[in-house]
Amino acid sequence: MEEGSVKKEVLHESRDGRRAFLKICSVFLTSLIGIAYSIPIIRTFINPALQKTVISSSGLVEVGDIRGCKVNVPRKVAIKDSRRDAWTKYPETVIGAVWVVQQEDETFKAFSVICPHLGCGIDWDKDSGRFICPCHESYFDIKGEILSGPSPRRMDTLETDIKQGKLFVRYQKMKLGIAEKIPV
Amino acid sequence: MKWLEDRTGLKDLVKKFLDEPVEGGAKWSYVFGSALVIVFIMQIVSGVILSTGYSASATDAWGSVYYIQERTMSGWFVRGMHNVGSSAMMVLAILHITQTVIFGAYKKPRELNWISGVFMLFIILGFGLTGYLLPWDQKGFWATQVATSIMGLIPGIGDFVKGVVQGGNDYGNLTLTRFYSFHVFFLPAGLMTFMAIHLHLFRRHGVTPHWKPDESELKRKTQPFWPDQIFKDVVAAVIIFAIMSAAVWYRHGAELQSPADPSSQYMARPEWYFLFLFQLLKYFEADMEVVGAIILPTIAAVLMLAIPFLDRGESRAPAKRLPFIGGFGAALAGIVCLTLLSMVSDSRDERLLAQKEESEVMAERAIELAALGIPPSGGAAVFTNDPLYVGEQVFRQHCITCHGYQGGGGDSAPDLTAYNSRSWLKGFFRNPNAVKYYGKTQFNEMPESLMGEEDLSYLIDFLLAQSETETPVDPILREIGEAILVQEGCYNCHTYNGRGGDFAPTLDGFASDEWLRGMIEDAGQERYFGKYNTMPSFKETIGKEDMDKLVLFLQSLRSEPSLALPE
Ligand code: FES
Repeated sequence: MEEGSVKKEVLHESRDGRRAFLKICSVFLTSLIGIAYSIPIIRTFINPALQKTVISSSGLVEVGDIRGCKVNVPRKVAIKDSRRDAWTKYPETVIGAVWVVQQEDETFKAFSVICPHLGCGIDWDKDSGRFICPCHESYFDIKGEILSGPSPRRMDTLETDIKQGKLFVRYQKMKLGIAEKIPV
Repeated sequence: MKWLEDRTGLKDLVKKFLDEPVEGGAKWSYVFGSALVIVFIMQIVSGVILSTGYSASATDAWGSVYYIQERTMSGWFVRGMHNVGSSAMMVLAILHITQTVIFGAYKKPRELNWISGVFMLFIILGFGLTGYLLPWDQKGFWATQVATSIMGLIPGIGDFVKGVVQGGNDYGNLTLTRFYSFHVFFLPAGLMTFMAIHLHLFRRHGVTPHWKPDESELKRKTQPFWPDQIFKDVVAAVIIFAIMSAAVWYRHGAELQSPADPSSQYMARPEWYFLFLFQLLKYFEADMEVVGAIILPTIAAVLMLAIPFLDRGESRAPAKRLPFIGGFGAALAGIVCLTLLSMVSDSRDERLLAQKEESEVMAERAIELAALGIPPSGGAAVFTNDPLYVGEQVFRQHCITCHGYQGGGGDSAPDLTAYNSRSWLKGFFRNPNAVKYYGKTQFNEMPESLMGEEDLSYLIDFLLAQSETETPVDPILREIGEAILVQEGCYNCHTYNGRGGDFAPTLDGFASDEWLRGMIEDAGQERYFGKYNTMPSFKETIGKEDMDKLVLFLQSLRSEPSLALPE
């Protein structure tokens, strides 16, 4: 009788050992599937963060003829460009605007109309001869330097070029609300 | 841990779920049910991820799927898994049902297990049907029309049902928004509900063990669900996952055909698990169609639901339920037969094979062109990225009322198939007044040429060399060419290099872009046909950009037989 119960015990133990092994295997194999499956899943999910999904031209965009420009009289010109939004390519549409100013030395400067503070549209105030952002009253002079107001930096200048009497601007949006000018 | 446990009772819950005696012991034959659950979970995961990139609109659907497939890391794999997953669910469901039938597992008191299961089968079919349309590519678009048309056949309420499902009178934005909604809300909610019921009932009545062992033997062999049965389920899951991944890898994801084009003609085929229904349709014509499309499938569905109430004998042993096992076997064999018949007849159908080849070419082209961005007017507009394609459209719009092309078109002006290719020109010189050339025009001044093969070949070389306006003609070739012009009397009518007559088209810059453009703009100019001209002027009707593309298209005919769609 003694012997019998001992045997039973051993049997029991070995069975428990087997079950414990099965448990470990089950958990291990399940995690294996989980990991194998999550790799592509996660890659797909995070993809847009690693990609440029909305693309406007980063090249020079023609904004128009420079004839008829007067020194220190800002002109607002629309930037037209085609835009790429993930799979869709939109035909040329207005994507923004710039203030074009002919300097005293006859060169041209282009300022983004987007206020570096929080992104409102900057206007030219003819009477006072200043740029003004109406949202929180930032003022800039004709060179784009801050006169007063909450804007953390001067108006953003954009790269320009003149080819055959036409002005080109490299249109870019900059990060808002910080002192440095960094393209987004 | 204890804190959490005290508040949630999570451990207890898990224990409750896992702790179940499996009478008669864990069995491999029980794995299909849990495999279905696992694949369904995988489908949810991949589906949710796909939904982060998918756009349910007739203009954007194809583009978004293209973007997932081609422009997103591992996107092709996730989409492939979702696609293969639907087939896996179907296969597993069939195995699960077969096992249930053989074991007689639907018998009292498990009738409702069976019925809820059959409903789940229908829902899985619904997933397949709705999902097939979502990419809005050719096959999805056309194949799904068959299904919705069938709904329209339902006596009395057909049109209404069709309108509800497809969202209005025709395929469009609302069809996609609705199918998408069915696919991601209605059907999953339905499946989860029935799955909950199914699992609850399963726990209530336990597994249906093999029919042979008696009660006491089963009791003795009882094993716990966790881990004995779960281990087997997990092993099955690993195998299924491996097979699915391998299939996806091998096929490089799921097929994406060219964007749906309602103006095209496309012979649609559904997903493989619908082929038997598709084949069934072929045997019922005209007025009888409703029989094959609706009545027979409905009867089959009702019969399937009714099985537990028909097969009421005590014994679960298959040998004692021969009529039912036989009936089920016959039905399954019938389905397999119909499926095979459909596959075989398709594989022999020349037109279908040609279409398959064409659609592969089109799909590849569409994907290539989509890399340039898809116009906002929708997926099918990718082809307008291709100047050659646009050129051909312009050609088809303006030219083929008079000019023949690839066996079609008019015959009152020269056939432009392979226009200005060597063989076209050769035929032209040999017999300019054949129907293919000037035969049916009012122009018959061009004499047939009797010159030797070699001379003709030189002449063609010489003429085609004119089309390269950038590079000067090789002087030797030019000398030979001019000699032939003299010898053949070409100068009587044609001008070349300031010499010759002026009542036939000039040979200066022959077949160059400029020459073609001038001809199309106004063939009545002095330097072309002058007063002999009968071709209308297209200066006003074809815009500059279209003209460039048309010229490009015409030039392409010279080198290749045709870039157009095969007939
Ligand atoms: S946004 Fe221009 S001042 Fe605030």
